[in-house]
Amino acid sequence: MPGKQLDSDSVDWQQLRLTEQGGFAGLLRGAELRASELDSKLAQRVATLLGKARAGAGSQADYPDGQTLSLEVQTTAGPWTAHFDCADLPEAVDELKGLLTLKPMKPG
Amino acid sequence: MLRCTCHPHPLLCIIPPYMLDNLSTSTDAAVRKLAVDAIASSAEARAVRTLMQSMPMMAAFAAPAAKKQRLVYDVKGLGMSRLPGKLVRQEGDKAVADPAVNEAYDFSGVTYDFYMKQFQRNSLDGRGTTLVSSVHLGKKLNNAFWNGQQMAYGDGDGQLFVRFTKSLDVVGHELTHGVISHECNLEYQDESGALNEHFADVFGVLISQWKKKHTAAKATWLVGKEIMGPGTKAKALRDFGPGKAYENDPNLGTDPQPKHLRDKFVGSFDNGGVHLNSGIPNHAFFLFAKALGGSAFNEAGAIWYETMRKLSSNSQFVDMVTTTQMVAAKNHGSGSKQLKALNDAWKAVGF
Repeated sequence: MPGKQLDSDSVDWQQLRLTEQGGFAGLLRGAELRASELDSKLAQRVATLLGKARAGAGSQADYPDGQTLSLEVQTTAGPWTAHFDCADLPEAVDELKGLLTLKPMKPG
Repeated sequence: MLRCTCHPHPLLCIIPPYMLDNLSTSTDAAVRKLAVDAIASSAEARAVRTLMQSMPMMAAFAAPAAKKQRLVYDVKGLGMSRLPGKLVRQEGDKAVADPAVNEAYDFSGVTYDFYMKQFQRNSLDGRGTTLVSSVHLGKKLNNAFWNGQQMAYGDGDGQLFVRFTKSLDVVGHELTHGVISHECNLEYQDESGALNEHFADVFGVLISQWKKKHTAAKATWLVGKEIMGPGTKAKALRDFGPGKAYENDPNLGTDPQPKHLRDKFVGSFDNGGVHLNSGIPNHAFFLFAKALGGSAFNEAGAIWYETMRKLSSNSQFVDMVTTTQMVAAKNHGSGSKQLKALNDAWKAVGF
């Protein structure tokens, strides 16, 4: 099991990257967040959200113009990745996305 | 067991759910007609609405006389698992207070009319399937899509995008994905996926030009102009012309669509760049339509429609080029100005 579990709903995270791609617009936008740059209260909130996000991970939006949100997380135990259909985001992922400002990325 | 009091015919009065499922896929025209008649003639609209909310594909029958059949649902900000949502407007109903509902209704109607009048096509499947739309999907969802059964529209975040029903070419684009799925069913990956997006973009803008009676010269050739929000200076999402829809935008970056084969995207992003590489045939269509003059939805649109019906699920760009050439030669002659303009357009984008 990747990632140290602080409690049933929490992940010992170091860094995360959130990317949103596809959709009718065909855009690629993303943002990164480091635990070390946050105050402890917010970092703990993110840890809780990540725990819930991992538990509720879905799959990529597999239909024309589907839009996928991908979450890549670095933890002390190693990395993990989860994908979500943007039209069906779990509440925790929606809140996590709201903490970040997505910026355009160059497709690669 | 679900009891329906909407129709005197015993087949439709007491309908267990498993039978409704069977009805929705029935090949028996009489059964389909009974169901459509029951819906159309119902004196108890509430019962029909309840029925169709629980079994939305019940309504996805062939229309018996090549008439529009539209249903618009409200998902009320919930997710995919709640599709289609609550039925809020159906065929023949008056406009409601919600503009998203009315736009989904009106623009799906325009799209139906376009395909019927230009190509004698009775809805997405050619057999009168009901056009099902759901609005207000998700929270601030910056997207619209065809999920294989229906259209779904987000409201946008209010900054980058506003509601996706606001643009006729967006609605036409999504419904055309439904047409494609019933024709060549282009695989949504790499070049075949880019062709899927290309056809959706082409018929999206042609539907808009047809409704506005715009000639190729007068048309903007922009995709999604009306859905751009106040947080961006982008003129649209995509531009069929030689320019870019946006450049150095702080929230969108720079329009990444190539206009020439030499600039084709080869990475894995976006299913192999389906929304990027569609820019190459999009620009060829633009050049072809402009060279022909007049209304792009007539001669150029007819060649593209026939080509879409001839391609297969794994068709590549080169298949697109040769098929349009074959169709143009068949329809207009091997020495025609149409074929010359087409060859010039493909050559200009690298073929």
